[in-house]
Amino acid sequence: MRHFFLLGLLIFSLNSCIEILDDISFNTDGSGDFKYTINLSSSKLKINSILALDSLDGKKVPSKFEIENKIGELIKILNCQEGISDVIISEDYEHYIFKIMLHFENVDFFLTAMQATIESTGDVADGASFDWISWDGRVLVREVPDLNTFKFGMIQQDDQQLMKSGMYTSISRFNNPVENINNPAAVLSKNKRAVMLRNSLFDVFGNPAIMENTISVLPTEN
Amino acid sequence: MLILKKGVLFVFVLIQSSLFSQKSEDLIPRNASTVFSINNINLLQKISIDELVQYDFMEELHQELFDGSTAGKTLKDAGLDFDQRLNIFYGKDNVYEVTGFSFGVKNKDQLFKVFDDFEFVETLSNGAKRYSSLFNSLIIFGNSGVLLRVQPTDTYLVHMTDSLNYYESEETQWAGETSEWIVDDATEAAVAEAVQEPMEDLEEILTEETGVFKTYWEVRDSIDVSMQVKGMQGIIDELILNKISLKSIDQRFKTQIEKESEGVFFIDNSRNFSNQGGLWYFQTMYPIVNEDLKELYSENYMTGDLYLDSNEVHFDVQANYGDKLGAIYSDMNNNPLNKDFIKYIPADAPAYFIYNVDLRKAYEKAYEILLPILKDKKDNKMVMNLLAIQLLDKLVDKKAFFGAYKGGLFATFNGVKEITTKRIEYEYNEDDFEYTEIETFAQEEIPVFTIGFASERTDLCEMVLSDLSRLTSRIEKKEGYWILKDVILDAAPMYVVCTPKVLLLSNDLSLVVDHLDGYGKGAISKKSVKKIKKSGVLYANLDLNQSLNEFPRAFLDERQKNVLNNLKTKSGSIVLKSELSELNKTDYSLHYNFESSSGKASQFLDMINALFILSK
Repeated sequence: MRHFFLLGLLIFSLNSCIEILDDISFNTDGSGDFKYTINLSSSKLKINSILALDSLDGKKVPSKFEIENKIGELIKILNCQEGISDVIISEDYEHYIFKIMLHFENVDFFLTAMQATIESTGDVADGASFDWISWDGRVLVREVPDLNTFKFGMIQQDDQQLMKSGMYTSISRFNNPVENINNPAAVLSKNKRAVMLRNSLFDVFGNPAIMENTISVLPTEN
Repeated sequence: MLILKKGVLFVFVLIQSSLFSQKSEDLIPRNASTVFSINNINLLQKISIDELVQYDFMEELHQELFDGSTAGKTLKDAGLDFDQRLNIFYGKDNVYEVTGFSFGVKNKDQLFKVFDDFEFVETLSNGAKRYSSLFNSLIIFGNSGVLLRVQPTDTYLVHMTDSLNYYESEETQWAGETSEWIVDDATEAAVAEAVQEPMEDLEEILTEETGVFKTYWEVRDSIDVSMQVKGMQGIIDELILNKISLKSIDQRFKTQIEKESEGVFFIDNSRNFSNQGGLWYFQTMYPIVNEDLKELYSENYMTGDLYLDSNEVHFDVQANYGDKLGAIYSDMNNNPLNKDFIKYIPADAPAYFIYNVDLRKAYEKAYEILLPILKDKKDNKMVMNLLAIQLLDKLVDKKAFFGAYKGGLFATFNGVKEITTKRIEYEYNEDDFEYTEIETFAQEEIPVFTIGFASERTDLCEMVLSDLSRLTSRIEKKEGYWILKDVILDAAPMYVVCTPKVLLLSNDLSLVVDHLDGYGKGAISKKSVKKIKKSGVLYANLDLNQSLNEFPRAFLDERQKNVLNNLKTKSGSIVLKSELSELNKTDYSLHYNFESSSGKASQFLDMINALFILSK
């Protein structure tokens, strides 16, 4: 689990920007698809310089091989979770872009699976909340995980300023047109079936509530 | 009667003068092998205490001085006498580890407002007063004090207690009343079950089941505490009552501590060497040889002086050693300057260093000195090892081996350059927020450097690169040099130049394009070369403005960033050099010339702070 702590440390000790993109599609039957992307391509030099070290601030730096192994373990854990299928994790070590994609049968299965997987890494603080999403087929209430509850959320002061250039993008997609959005910062797509909310990663760290959103969609016409 | 009164008065004056002539440096136990001492008189005339306590090295001291209950207080509040030296010491022998610091006391009331965890224990027979907290003892003797912590070493504790561990693993218990080891069924069952569990569980179960049973860890803790008490008493008896201190028994330290420089340090490597944990295998397997090697280090100690002049901090270090080591060092270090190094150091390089050793000469001398020592031993393993060493010596072509890697090297920092890096961004479709990845380009700064190794067999490197280039397109032969593509952080190329006398590795394109044969008139000046030639094995030059301020921080870890931050606002230069090695010593000096609006004492303390952070 130390590796993930270090991966987190590595991610958040980067001087360049980071982009996190979460993209979730909801079907009317309650199922959906989840995509989560961490794009570190802007920090490639820094990552390579860290990976060249044996240790950083007294902690061992994981090798690419160790990171790959750990990701392999995560895929296994996710694949074993009830109601979860089509798990794909892609790792692009040329640009340092990591993606996870999966299909869930319903939101409860999804949240349980994420909790089990994240807890298996040991990098989450006691009492962390995993109730990020609720979806009844008409109304979606969602927030983003509070990154501060993860142990790697201890960011150096220097890097906090530089994280301001990083972005967190959250996209929610629906089969039916969106009727109402309660977060004024959110933007509706032209086809009215997708809602995007973007904020600086630094602000999301400081106040995860800015990513909270309640979206209602029109009912399916019979 | 008058005579009697005079006599009493005389004795009283004698005691008082003895008591109050005591200085903080007299309260450093002889067990200390490393001492760092700040001469407060000089320093504090130049800087306020409030400023002083902001430094990292004082913060460490603060942590020792003040616990959480006294947070926010400063040394100034502690009633310390800044007319006396502040001495921080550390020592370790085979049994005990001792740490602490000694200082002058000006106001005892203030002192104990800060040292509020200390409680009075006793007045010693010579009038010194002893106070204790949970782990530390504080002795006030006249106008000086010493805070001591004494602990048995882990190795010794394990050695002392491993037999208890054996008994425990034999599933027995010690029943104090009967004075014999017994095993009852309930305990046996509990232990048998518990040994499958982690140690914490073992402790818990055994305690619950038996009540009187002491686990290994409990017994070990008792022994630990008892040894701490004994060790502390021994040091107090010796240091305070018998006045046997490092200063009184070690003339070398006495000479050093009496210097008027702003700061001094003393490191007795002979004792540090014999207590090196890393040598345990050697110490265990070859104890007699270890003793002989210890003898090699017997006169090995380092002293250092920090001086502050008008716009310069001057740091003198003397590495002292015995004749045998001296003979090895002299042969290794005293070599003529490699002229091929000089021509590849540009005059405008913000930083460079030259390390001019000759490993072959060092090897030959070490072989000559160590072989007779080792040959004295009749131990089986040692004889076989020696045989292997001698056979290798005869069979390996040393000229070829040490010709390929002579040991000498130089490095230059030539500023920074921008390289183009690729990054991925997302382009969103406004209709449905679907996105595509697009490749964009950005400029990032990386440090430009050249490293050169003295070698007379650079043809070997040519051979290796030539063969490897047939396997990968990332290695390519160019006119006069090789290019290794994207080898630096997977983003920038490195160039390899195999000259007849030096193997050069660099990411400086201008070197391979314009200066393959050296920088010519653009190389460092004759004046600088003269200075380098005059120095010994080591010479380094750093322009603070150009190097520290330009160096990209992205490539540094937190500790290095901390040092950089400390020096970053400064301008000036740092020159580090050694003198020629003599049979019993090598002198090193570091000169820091500064141009700054801040006070010179601040510059001095900044430098101490940088050294402190680096040495942590």
